[in-house]
Parts: sequence; structure tokens; C-alpha cells
Amino acid sequence: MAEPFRVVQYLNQFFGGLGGEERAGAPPLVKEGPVGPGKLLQALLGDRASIVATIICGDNYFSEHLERVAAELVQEIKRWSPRLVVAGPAFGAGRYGICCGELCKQVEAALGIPTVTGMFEENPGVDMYRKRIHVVATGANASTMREALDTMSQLGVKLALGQPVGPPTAEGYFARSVRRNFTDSRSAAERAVEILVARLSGRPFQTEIPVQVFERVLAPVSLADLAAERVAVVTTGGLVPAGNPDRLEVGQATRWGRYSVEGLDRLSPEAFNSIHRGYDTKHVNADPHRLIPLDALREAERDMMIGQLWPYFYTTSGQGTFVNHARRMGCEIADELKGAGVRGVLLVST
Amino acid sequence: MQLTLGTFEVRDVVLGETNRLREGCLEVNARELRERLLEDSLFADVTLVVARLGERKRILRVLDVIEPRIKVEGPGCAFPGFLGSDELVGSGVTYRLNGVVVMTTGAMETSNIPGAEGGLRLSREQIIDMTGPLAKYSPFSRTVNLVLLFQPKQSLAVETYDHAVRMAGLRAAHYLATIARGSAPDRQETFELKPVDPELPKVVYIYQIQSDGVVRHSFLYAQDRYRMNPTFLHPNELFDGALVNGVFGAQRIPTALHTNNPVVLQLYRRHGIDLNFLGVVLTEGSNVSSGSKSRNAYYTARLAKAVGAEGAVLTQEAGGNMIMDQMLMCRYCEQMGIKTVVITYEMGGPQGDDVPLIYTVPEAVAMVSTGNREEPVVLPEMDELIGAETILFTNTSARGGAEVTLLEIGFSTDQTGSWYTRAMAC
Repeated sequence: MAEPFRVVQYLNQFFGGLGGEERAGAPPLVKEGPVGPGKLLQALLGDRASIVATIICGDNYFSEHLERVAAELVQEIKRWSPRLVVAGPAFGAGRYGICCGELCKQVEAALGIPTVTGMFEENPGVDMYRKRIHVVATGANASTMREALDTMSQLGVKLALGQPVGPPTAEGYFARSVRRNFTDSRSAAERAVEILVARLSGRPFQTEIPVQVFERVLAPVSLADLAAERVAVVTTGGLVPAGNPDRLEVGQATRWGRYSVEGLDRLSPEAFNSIHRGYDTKHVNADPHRLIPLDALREAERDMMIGQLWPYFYTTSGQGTFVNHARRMGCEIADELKGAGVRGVLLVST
Repeated sequence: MQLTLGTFEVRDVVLGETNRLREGCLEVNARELRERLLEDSLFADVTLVVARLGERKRILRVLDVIEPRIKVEGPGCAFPGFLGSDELVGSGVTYRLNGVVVMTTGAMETSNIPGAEGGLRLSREQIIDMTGPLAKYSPFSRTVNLVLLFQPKQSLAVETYDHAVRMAGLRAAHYLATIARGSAPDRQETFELKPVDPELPKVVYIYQIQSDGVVRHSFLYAQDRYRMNPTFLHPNELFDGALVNGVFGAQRIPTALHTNNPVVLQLYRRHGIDLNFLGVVLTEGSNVSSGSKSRNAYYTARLAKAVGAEGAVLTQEAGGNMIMDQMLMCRYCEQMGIKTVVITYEMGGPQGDDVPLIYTVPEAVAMVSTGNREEPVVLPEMDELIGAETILFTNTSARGGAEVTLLEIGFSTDQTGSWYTRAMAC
């Protein structure tokens, strides 16, 4: 029989037994063992876990300096070495929910300890925090305390012990922003035809993948006089020096390369080739100018269409590359170019 | 068009001296089959290996999977144009072997095939485990797999090798199917799109496949679908192998799923019950300009509308690029009043926290997930490796311990929706 793992619980002034709204300004207070609803939680956890401490704080005290107080409580929690932190449940109480959410978020980020909290769906804390932490869906008020703690304790034990956690519908928490694979009992084709028939008969249906809203990137104002500008070439077409010396990824890229074209008028097919796996690279490999038109850009320099070609080109493979990585790499390249006084980029691919 | 499919249940395959199907056990004259395949002098050698559920075997570099089918009555032949006349099929009687498939394996890569120049023209790794935690990800860990291992002759161009592998797979499938000829099938099912209650909603299946040249193409009656416009098929044509896979360079729909397309089977099952299945709109997804992408999507939706569709299920094949074509088809269908459901895999990154699809349209209100293909899995230790010792394009041992993604696990996030993998917000 394994040792019970250690749990710290957070409660507000009311559930912590200090009093009602008149005690909402109470500063943090730590008590050993479970307090108030913590006793029921301890009973539900049984001998799997032990609530070693309860932190109690007034809703106003906490929410008025939300991040600072959460950071202080994180330090206190660290001293107790728990494997799980439970906050609330807060039900419909908005300030309490936000405090629980912030505390859980900071505990996970700073200490890497799993957390679980519980809120009613209309609690503003749900939308604010559900994507980062596990927020169990509870009833609107404490009359549903037992059900809330039951769901929270079961989920909490799995999180603490690193056991597999099922999808939100099975475990009772609000869906976060991470998508993981599961095995359904019906094939995708079965589900699809079922949904189509529902749509055609006007019955409700559930889509399985949300429609994305992509951020709008506004084009900057165009450069008034290119002849006075430094221009650089950036490509997602995967052109690299022969042999790919920096071992850039052929797809799902997380890294980019910077290669010199200083003093070069041409890119020779012996010296450069494309590692991209998403297009037929035969033509680029026969003549790299089809991807990076260095010859034309040198002419443009000589003819003073552009002021100067920046002596480096920047490259990565765009094939299957994750949006988050693409955004980060774009920012990194942009920062470097800005620092070098480059205000115009030729972004080329195929 | 009425087609009767006679199914023979095969639960084991044995490489032996004669050709015989008895009580679910298919004995294959291995020597003769091998000689037949080597008649095509493009191969230096062909090896036959059998892999069964539960065996500690890992099959690597899978190219195509073909379910044996043979026409016994009616016009044309199975896999028309490849194995015989290219006249219209889909009627008469066709026999199929259920539970066994032919698997072609190998690599189209520059080191062994001159002309596999890079990028698109290279094949992609597809791994199938017959046992262990990854077996649950593939529909073809449950079939008895007759695996063909090819050794190409050195002088081959990639176009020639590509064609040779495809023909060999189809010939082997044909060879197996002929063993059943003369016996009585275990069960029969007749497929006919009978007229139904006109009140039932009319539905089409929009079947988007890839056809983008060598190592990335698909064939209708053996005709390369490269740059072809959408067309309308009777589903029975698919059952007779009119659509054959030649996509080796990406996540693909193998020929065995073209003949057993799960959307087609679902729509057929419900025809006359709660829908009126009109047929299949076959369309290509790999259009390379934004103009041709939107025009082809428009043509696809317009064809669906012209045949009377009120609803459509849309699938796609291969890359992320093709998701854009699928989404544009969804948009134009919805704008024309055709309600859609889109089936697709997701590309949400190894942690599942990246944007799941590279492109969506607001009209795609009904989507079904076949899983995040970028979720990593670790290959467990396996006793026998069939097809290679290393993971394609790496020096990493394929025996166990390497991390790959579901994209490399054969057909785990199958785009026709045959499988059960699904991603969900957590």
C-alpha cells in the first residue's frame, strides 16, 4: 500500500471558517490539516492522500493583488512539498474563482505540481483559466459540494499519480486547449454520416474540431523608396548549403538557418539544394535561383532598384511546420533583421 | 447497376506448394506466385513474407495495401485497365477475400532509384506493428498480410519502378483471388442504388484524392488522374477496383480502402433508410495555384449540386495542402445549399497545443476528427523487422525505442474515416 501523497488545499475566508463578506480582506493564514470542506475531501481521498495544510485568504485581499498574492502563496505551498494542490471549489463565486484559477496557474508554472479546482460554468474564472489548468464543472453553489469534491478528488488523484486522464466528458472538467488522441467506439465515417443525417433533419449535432480563427496580420505601410533600403531574402522553401551542415529539419521545422551570400552573384546547384519534402525539388536543385533569385537581386542592386541586398538569406522548411513554431521563427528572424536596419523582406517559396 | 459481392472469410495464409482455400485457410503456391511477379523483369528479386495478428513482427516501408478481388460474372474485370479491359465495371458478381491483403513495400529514394529527385518524389515511411501497443492504430494489423519485398534493378527510373510495384501488387492480389474462384462464398451482399422515398435527403460522397505525378498519383480505370476535373462515379465502380492508389509519398488511401471505403459503405447501408445516396464525386486535391484550387473546388460543388445533392460527406488524401482544397469545397457546397460534414486528421503538433488545421472556413461547422497525426509514439521492441532495419531516411534502428509520430504508423489517422482514432480537447 503506497504512502498517502501530500495535498495542500486553498480556501477563501468563508469556506475557511473565518467569516463572511466582512472578512474578505483577511490576509493569508495557514492551518495544518484539512479545514471545513477539506474534511469531506480528505474522507473522499481516503488513504490515498493526506491534506497536510490548508491556506485560507480573503477574496478581496487576494483578488486585489492577484498575481503578487498568488506568487506569495506559491512560496508557502512549496514549503509543504505537496504532490497535488486543490483550490476551492469556488462554485459561482467570481472573485473566489479567479483567485483559485490564478493560484493553480502559478503553482503549475512555478512548481510543476498538478492542480485541480472547481467552478460553475458561469464563473468568470472558467473562461480565464480553463485552457491552462483543470477546472472541474460544478453546480452553482455549495449545495453540490459533495459531487464537486468527488469529481475533483478522482481527477486530482490521477493527476498527482501521473495516471492517464480521460477526455473532459469522462472526467468532468472544462475542455482545455490541448487536443489529444483517444479511441472512439465508432469509426470516423460512422460518426460523420450520423452527423450529416442530423444536420439534414435539423437535429442538433456536435462538431469535433473547432473552426479556427487566425490572427489577422496587417501589412505594414510599403517602403517609399526601395533604392534607399536594405532588403533581405527569407524562404520557407528549405534551401540550404549542400550537405545541410546545420541539420535543419526537412519538415515540421523548429529551427531556421542563416547563410551568407556575401560576394556571391549566383547560387550554384553544387553549393545549395532544397531539403523540403512537400514539393518536387528537382527544379530548384537544378537551379536554386528558382527559389532564391539571387541573380535577379544582384541586378536589382546594380540597377539601383534596391539599395543593398542583405548578405544573408534566412531559410527553413515550411512543410507541416507548426503555426506556433512558424510564428516564433518569424519573430526571431524579424528581430535580427530589424536590428540590422533591414526594413524590407522578400519572402519566397515555390 | 447491380453488383453482388461474394465474400470469402480468410483467417490464415500459408505459403505452400499449391493454391487452395479451405475452411478459411488460404494456401498459396509461393514459388509460382514469385515466378509470375518476376516475369516483370524490372525486379532483381521479390520475396514473400506472411505477417499475422499477434506475431512480433513490424512491417516497414509499406507502399500500398490491396484486398484481393476478382470478377466472376459481368462486364470488365477487377482493377480495370490494369489487369484487363478498362470498360465500365460495377455490375455482375465479384468475389473478394476478407481478412487477407497484399502489402507492397519498399522505398522510392535517391540512393536506390535514380530520378527520385527529392521532395515530393520520395516515398514516406509507413509502419505496421502486428502486435503490441501500436497494433491498435492500424486496420491492417488485423488482416493476414502477404508482404511483398522488392529488390529493384539498378537502372530503373522512378516512374518505371513506381509502375512496376503497383502492377506487382495488383497481380499478386489477383493471383490470391483466383484461388477462390470455383468455390462458394461464405456470404453475399448485393449493392444497388434502388429508387427510394423521394422525401429522403439526397447525399453525395465527395471523394478527394491526390494526383500530383509520380509517387503521388491515383488512377481511375488505370488512367492517371493528374490535373483531371471532378467526375461522378457509381459506388459499385469502387468495389470493383476502378480507383487504384499510387500515392507512396504521403499519408495515403491504400487501394484496400478505395475498394472498402467506409463512407461509401455507411451511405449504402443507410440508403433508403434515412438518406438517398446518389453517388460519388471524385475530385483531386493537389491543385497548385490558388486559382485552380478554388476553381476545382467550385467545379466539385457545382457537380454535386447538379446531381441533386442536399448533403455531402467530404474526405481528403495526403498533405496539409489538400486540406485547403477540402475546405474550399466545403465552402462552395454550403454556399450552394449543400450541408457538409468534413472528415480530416489534425496537425496539432506533438503536444496537441498547436492549431489543429492549417486552414478552415467558417462554413465548416461540422467536422469529424481522425486524430492528431503529429502525436508522438515510441516504437516498442519487436522481434522481426520486415522490409528494413532502419526508419526510412534516418539511421535510426527500427527495432525499438525510436520515437515516431502517428503519421508514420500506417493508416492510423486514416482520412477516409475507417478507423477509431480521434483527437479531443482535454
